[in-house]
Amino acid sequence: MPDRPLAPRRIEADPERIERGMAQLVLTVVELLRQLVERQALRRFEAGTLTADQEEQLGRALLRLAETMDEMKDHFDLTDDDLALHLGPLGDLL
Amino acid sequence: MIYAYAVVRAGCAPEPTAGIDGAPVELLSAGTLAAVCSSHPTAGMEPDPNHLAAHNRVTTAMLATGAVVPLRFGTTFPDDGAVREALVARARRLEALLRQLEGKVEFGLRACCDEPPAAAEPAPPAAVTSGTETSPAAGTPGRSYLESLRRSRRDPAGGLAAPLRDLHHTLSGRAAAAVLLPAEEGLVAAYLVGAAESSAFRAAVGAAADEDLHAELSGPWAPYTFVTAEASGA
Repeated sequence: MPDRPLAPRRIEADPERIERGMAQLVLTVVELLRQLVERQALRRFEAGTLTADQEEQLGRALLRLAETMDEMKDHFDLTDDDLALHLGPLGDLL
Repeated sequence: MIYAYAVVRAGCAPEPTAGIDGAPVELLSAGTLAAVCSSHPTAGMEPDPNHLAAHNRVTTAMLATGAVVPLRFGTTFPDDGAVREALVARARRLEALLRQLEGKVEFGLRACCDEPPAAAEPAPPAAVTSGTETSPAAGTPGRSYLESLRRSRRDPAGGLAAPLRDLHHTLSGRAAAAVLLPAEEGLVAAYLVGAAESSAFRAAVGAAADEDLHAELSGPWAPYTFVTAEASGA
């Protein structure tokens, strides 16, 4: 059927791979928060209520965050798809 | 084990197509829906190239009989009863999908252009750069990041080189739905096109391609991409 499988994603218990499994779980949560923050920041930016300095500061912070996220993904060899939480019939979280 | 290829309307007459490993393809109906299936002695199905090709052959053959909801490769059920239960449990969404996909096929596109991709950040349209806008390059990386976020939210094709973006917009205009697929570079997308408009769609791709823009169209396929997109709420 077209749904994604409903079985929950499991963390690898194999000691060799547990680090990556944990990183995947943690980074998924961090990525979710990062995207929420980005969306909220964009809303403020589009509302036009920020000063030029505030915009610049906000943008730089988000850029750093995005870069750091990319570095972490590289480090643990994770792709965007690894960080997508599939919620079965509810669709994807990210 | 029952292997399921696609969901169609009950009562449609499938072309006699050989399924995976040459197994005969049959319809298992429940209510107004039917699953296109074949039975196999094995417990699962390995995604080897022959099996994948057979899966595609069956779903593509079903396109001729009307609306098709193709299933992902590897959808299996223990027995006939389980197939019917699954159809009943998802009947509402499957019927909505069948209505939506009626008479439509999927085309896949891969296109790239020789022009150097206009960096990660395409130049904003000329109209936007006038007035108080600061130049994105000049010492305001923060602001240009926000701008690029805004562009990519407004226009998912915003990160593409201009000729590819134009191509995507043109083709999206001719399609009932379009999805940009993740790609390292270039334009990779799927378009849901009315079967009757297929040749016009092909022609539009042909017309856009030139020395600098290579476009490769595949299909018509059963609308896999649009089933998944629908199922994930997109």
